Amino acid sequence: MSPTQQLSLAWQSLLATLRSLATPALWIPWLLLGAVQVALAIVIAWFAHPAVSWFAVRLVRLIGGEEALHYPTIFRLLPALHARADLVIGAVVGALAAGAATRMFAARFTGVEARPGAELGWALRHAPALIAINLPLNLLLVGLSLGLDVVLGRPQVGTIVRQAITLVGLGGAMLLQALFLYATPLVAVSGLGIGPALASLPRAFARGAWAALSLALVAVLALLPLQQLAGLGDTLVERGTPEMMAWMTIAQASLGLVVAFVLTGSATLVYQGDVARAVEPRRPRW
Amino acid sequence: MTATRVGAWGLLLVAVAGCGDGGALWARYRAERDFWHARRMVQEMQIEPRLTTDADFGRAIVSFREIATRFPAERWAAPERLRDPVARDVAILSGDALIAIGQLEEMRGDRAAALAEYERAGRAYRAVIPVALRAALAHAAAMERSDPVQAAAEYAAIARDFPLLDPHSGEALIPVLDASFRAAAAQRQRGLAGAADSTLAALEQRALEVVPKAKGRTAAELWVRIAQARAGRLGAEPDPALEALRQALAEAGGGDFAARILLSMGEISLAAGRADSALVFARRGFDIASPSARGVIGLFEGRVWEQRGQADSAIAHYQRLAAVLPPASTPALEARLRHALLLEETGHWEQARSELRALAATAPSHPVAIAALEGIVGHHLRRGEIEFAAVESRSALEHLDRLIATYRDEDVLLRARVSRAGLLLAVGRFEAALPALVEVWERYSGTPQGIQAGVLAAQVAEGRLNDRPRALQLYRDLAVRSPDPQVQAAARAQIRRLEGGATERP
Repeated sequence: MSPTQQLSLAWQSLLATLRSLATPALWIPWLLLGAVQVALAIVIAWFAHPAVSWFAVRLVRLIGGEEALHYPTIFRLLPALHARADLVIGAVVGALAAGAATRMFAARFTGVEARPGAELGWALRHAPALIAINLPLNLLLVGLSLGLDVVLGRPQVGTIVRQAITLVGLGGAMLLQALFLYATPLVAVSGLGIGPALASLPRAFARGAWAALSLALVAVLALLPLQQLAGLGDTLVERGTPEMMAWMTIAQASLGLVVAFVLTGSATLVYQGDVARAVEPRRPRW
Repeated sequence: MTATRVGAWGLLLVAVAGCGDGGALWARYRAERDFWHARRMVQEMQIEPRLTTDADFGRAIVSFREIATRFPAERWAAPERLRDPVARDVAILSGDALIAIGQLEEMRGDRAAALAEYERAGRAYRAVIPVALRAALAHAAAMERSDPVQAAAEYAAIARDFPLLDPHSGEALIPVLDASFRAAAAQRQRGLAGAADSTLAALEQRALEVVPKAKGRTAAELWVRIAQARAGRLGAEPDPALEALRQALAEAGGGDFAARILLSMGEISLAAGRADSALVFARRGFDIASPSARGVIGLFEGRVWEQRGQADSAIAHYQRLAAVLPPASTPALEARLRHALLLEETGHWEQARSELRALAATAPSHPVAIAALEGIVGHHLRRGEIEFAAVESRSALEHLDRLIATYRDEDVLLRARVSRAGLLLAVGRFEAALPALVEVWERYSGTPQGIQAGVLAAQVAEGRLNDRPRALQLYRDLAVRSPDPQVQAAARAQIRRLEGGATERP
């Protein structure tokens, strides 16, 4: 497919997925992930409550240090702490949710009824492959984020350079997201094992690079306002409403889920429409 | 089977709920949360103090009282509990809540209630040294206005009774060290130079006893106070103080703290007439200081050049300093002001005037800008150029009126109003100066500037405007509302004189 055809396919996939937003069954894997993320935000914010303190204190101390165990510091740090802990949640529960959702989208787009229970069961059974195929992406994103923190943490970095580095970081995140966009469909739609899936990844990207890049760009642009919101933390705390940070973190996670829903659906449709032909000899039966 | 499962889950939940750390962390979380929200209330009151109602004070006091009640001293300040650092934090917050109530009572003018709260906090939390110390300091500070002698005795007691090192953290308790200096200053003010020297000698002795136990920054802080105690005594030689500061420098480990020690060494050397040494210390301090700390040291070097009588070197230094410091920083503006004033002193008025005008335009609300305006008018007054002074004062008054009309910052408004009244007085516009002084007195009667304006207003009314009833009214007001007992006594004497028809004027 030519770049223009790929962009057109990505756009059509995006529209089709947006139309699926109102289908409750497709939300089930994401709601499970969302429930874990909301629980995580609540546990971090109210870490000292006797019902959760036995593990939450250790968790907060581990990811935020001793200073995070104070009020209102915990709310000031909440988005960052939640994001750090969410890396693990995303790598494990997120990978399973994406696997189940991908199979449900694939079924829906081929006219078959989506079965949330069955697909979640399938995702659980194939958990090692789903987690492993997304692991390189998660590790590379963590490495990129740490690298940016180190560079931006230097006092001699000026404002313009800082903005340029942030932009480069966003570009890098977008590129990585695009490179791994078809990773979950390779396992969940084509049924490949971890080895063949990883081996097929470059071919899949080469086949649908323009579509992947455009979808990753849409995801990054949609998530950008969330990152700006995270910068409001100090203002919210100083204005006397530290607890608002918990709601903001939950809102951030919820919006992140919407973006993940749209990205997964669109990627599945692009994969089924074109990329699958390059990596598997026969189309799967649904 | 189901009942067994439910039972097992129940047991697990109970175990999980009980697996915290004895509730101390949850207590600290709640205490910190409630204290933070109560303090926010006070901060909001401080933004616009004049709009604060009694109900606002009441709400804030109730919030702090709830913290002290929910986490009582009997439970949280018990010696066995204080071994747990988290429980100790709860005790500190609870004690600080009582002190905050005292401060709120002071803010709304009920000093007796404030003193009672400080005493209660000191008694209930005597085992929690930071709280007991803050309560004692707050009590002494509250006494300072009404009974300076008692306040000095309280500072002396703090210096004597509290440890110099925090037994839990091992850090130097700076307020205990500084209490000795306050007590000595008060003794010296009352003419008790011998007692003041004894207080400082006792501090030196106590600090020398504990300094071997301290290391690093704590040891350096102690050595700095030892140096201050040595230098503060009557007829003190500079060398023992300098030796203590050398010890402090060895422990400080560089950075701005070391730069400040070098600045102190420079100041002691300058006071002893060793300007060359002072210059060396100042330059060493400037070299190791961070950009934000360099200004103060640079200004000191300028002062050394001035004291050496080398005005040209001082002018060149201030010019260089203003160029290397951040342009809007206070030290940069002060360097420019000194530069301009030295230019005036050395006969370069045109250059000086343009620098003073530039300063007033650069940072209109800064004290340096107001001082620059006063400097222009002062130059003409000193030379007897009354017409020029009148013209310049009109322009300065317009500037100050603009500040008063457009700024909301209380510090800026106070400075502008004081300067406005001072300028009107300086150029002899007494009819306009009187209401300006009365305004400063009425708005800021609790501050030294307000009290001074009140006294000046009464003197202008009687001495310059021959308005004895107005002067009498102002003295009566001072006798009742001035927080300074000496001013109250002086005002009562003036009232007796005016009512008795005596002709002797203040």
